Amino acid sequence: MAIELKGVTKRYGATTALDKVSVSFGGGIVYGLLGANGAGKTTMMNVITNRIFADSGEVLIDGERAPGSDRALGKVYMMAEANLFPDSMKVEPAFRLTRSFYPGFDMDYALSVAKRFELPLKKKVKSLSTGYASIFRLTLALAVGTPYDIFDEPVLGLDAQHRDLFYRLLMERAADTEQTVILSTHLIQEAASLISHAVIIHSGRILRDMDTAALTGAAYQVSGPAAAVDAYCAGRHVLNANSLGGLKTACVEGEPEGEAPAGLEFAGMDLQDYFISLMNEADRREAK
Amino acid sequence: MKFAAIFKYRMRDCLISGGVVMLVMVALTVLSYFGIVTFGGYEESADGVTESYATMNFTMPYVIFMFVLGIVSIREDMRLGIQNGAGRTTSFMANLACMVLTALLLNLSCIVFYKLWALLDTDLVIIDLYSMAFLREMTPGTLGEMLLCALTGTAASLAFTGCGVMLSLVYWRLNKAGKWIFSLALGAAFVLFINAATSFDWLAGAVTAFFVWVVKAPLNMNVTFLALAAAFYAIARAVTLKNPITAAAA
Repeated sequence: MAIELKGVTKRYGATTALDKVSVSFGGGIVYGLLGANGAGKTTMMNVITNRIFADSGEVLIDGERAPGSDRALGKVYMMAEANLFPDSMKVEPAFRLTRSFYPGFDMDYALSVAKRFELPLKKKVKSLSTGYASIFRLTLALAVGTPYDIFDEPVLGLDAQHRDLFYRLLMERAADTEQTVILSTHLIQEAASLISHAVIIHSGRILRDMDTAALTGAAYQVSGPAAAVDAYCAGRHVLNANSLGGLKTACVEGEPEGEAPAGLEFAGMDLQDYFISLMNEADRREAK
Repeated sequence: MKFAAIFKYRMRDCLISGGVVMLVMVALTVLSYFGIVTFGGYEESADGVTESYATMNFTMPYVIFMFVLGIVSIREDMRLGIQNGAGRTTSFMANLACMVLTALLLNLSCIVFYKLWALLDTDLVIIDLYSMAFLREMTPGTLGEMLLCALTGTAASLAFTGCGVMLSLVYWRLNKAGKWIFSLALGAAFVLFINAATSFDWLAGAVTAFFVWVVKAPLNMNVTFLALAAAFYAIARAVTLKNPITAAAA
């Protein structure tokens, strides 16, 4: 049981937003869909939810073709950046309306989440600030109870306290309901502890699709005097390197072999470090 | 499930807005009546007998209302549907079902109002499209005539609703340049057609013959309106098959 994309391509004029993408989301875990601006994350999520059509390839939801199928599409809820509710609609009626579409929508939970975020229920959706508009949409997504929940930049405009609250609620919800969650965010460091599996996309292509622990364990940092680091890195696959004065830090793919040579230090990489290194390497390759 | 949810939401909206339009029309009718009482009505002499009256028309306001409803409701329903896991066909069909029911209810309700108004026996006569085209007295007398009035009004409303839905979706689908080209092309086609109709006798004759055929029998008129509605909705449906569903511009 999963959302499967098979050879999905989507072009906008001369730009290829998705290039023969094949990826699968399932298993009741939290996926991090990571990529730079314009990498194709939102396009992928829009293709999954049939907001747009792929030029080729197919999208299957639990084995059923998604476009045009209420049953398949009804298993996925997407919290997008854009609001698709009518402008005149108020927050609480929007909750009730969503419940009429999704029998699993938990109204009590939605109201309790709204209360914790101090979301004004009587206000029109259109008149909410950027932060509260995000809260409105993430409240719906948290309460909807579909097997697959997609969050596209869920913390846009949220202050640190509300972001923390959202991450805690998402973690609780994902654990309680066994939903498969796709979380697309630029705030990788903040969301890293939630993400079990990372899908990294660049220029419409999947660069990595791995368990987060395996991904961050697949590279390490070596730092020390520039000459020593260069000597160490010779013959190794360097993802990224930064110099400051006479010191250098390099991100090397693979696992360190034994102890660090004299004068050098090894350190593990977190998801954000790995992501940045990978993006820099991808950019360099493209520039060549 | 998804169809019912969209249908319920849209129908509630249609009943409220339709009810407001109905109330406005009733209010205008009453105001028109007091206008006649105060200032007098239109006088006409026929066979030596002078008649003093005024007319009120419900069909055209309803047709315009349905045209606007078609324009504003379809994008909203497509967005609402896709946000809540409904396929494009489901959203489109739910909107269509609401439009048909709203048009029918509006036209049926105004027949009831015609009848109630007729009981007052005033100089203000409410007429409608069917009565104007096919009844000598300009008001329906029998139940059958009343139902035909409602049917013709509904068919006319649907033709204009379909036009509104189609235009809304086509403009949604087109980019900025496309919107300009389409708009100019529509205007140009209209102007060219009018010029061609006045320049070529055979075309003028064909257009005249068509309109004569339309008003020859209620069936012809209803078939024409329903054929137009079907054509507009077919184009609209074709547009929804592939158009991206985007949020409303801020």
